[in-house]
Amino acid sequence: MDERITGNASGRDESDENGSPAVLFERVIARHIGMISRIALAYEADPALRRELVQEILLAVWRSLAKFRHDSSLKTFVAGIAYKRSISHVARAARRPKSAPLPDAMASEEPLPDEISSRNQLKGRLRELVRTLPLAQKQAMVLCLEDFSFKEIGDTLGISAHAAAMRCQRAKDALREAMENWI
Amino acid sequence: MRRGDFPKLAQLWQEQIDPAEQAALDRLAGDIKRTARRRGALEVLFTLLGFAGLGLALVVLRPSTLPLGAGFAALGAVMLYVMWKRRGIVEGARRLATGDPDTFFAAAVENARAELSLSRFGLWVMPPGYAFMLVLLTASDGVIGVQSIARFLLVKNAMMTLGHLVLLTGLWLTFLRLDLKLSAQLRRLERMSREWEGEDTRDRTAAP
Repeated sequence: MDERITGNASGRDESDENGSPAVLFERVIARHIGMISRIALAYEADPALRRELVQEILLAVWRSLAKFRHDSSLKTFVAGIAYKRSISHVARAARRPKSAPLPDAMASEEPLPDEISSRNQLKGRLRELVRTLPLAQKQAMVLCLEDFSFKEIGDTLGISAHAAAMRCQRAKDALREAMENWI
Repeated sequence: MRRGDFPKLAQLWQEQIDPAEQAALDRLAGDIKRTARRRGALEVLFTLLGFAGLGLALVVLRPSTLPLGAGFAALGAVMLYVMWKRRGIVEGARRLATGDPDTFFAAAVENARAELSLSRFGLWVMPPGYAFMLVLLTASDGVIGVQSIARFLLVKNAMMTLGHLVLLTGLWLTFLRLDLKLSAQLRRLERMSREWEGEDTRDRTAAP
């Protein structure tokens, strides 16, 4: 845990250091578009609305890159914008993230047709479980799943690395419990 | 899920985006600069249209008396005030994305309250403001005096006035719907903010 808390002392990727906003935006697209989309996935289940959310995040990133001060990594900067936009999106939307009960088929002990569909079902289930976590734990969990260090999570969420570590632990416990109930 | 399983879950999580969706995201990203330019141009266009409308009204109607001029100036001032407040709220919403993460919820709630407050102002001001505008327009046509204006609007041009009433009601209901949405949005933000603070307290009490 200590290693993850300390991580890269500055939390920065040296290759993020230089570049105009346009260059940085290309870098965001090349390296972090998947992360942006997965963060949106944790907050919005509807594919069309999720695409809108990704577009809003990308627009906010595009507008904000001129203010990027390099005091954190580009990844942390982008994740911070993505999570704040996602919260605004959830606040605007008329509904909470879905917390539907498991379909019977998913709780079945019967063997699944093949490994791919089993993996897809696991992915779907993981998505559902992450969406149902309480907001603060969900934020930490998504960043944990994205392999952020605790320092990076702290920087993104505006909390200390220790607080991030504890929040992640609580989120993991909640996820573990939910998965055990499922299995 | 066992304790050592988390890296596998992380790997599973990072496989969420399939190639088709990735391609769609790449297209979306390619269009962002154009979308940003288009939205920027639309904002400028709407601002210009607002000012042009005010200018045109003054030029075409040519308020002939001081009270008429003052009336149009008051309407214009209210419109400018709403546009200025609206712009502040939009800028505030944009700043939220890059503001300090630890003050995000407070800033988001404050911005939502400002938006709701402007919406309430609009709901209260719209009916009398619209009626005031009709009276000013009638007076600009040379109909002077309260009774003459009332006869002009309610008797001679009853159908036109009814049309305005229907339009005003439609606009007001649209604004009311927006107001209710904003109220719900503010409640959700406040609830999330409390949730966040609760988690923050748990972090602090559990800290070594």
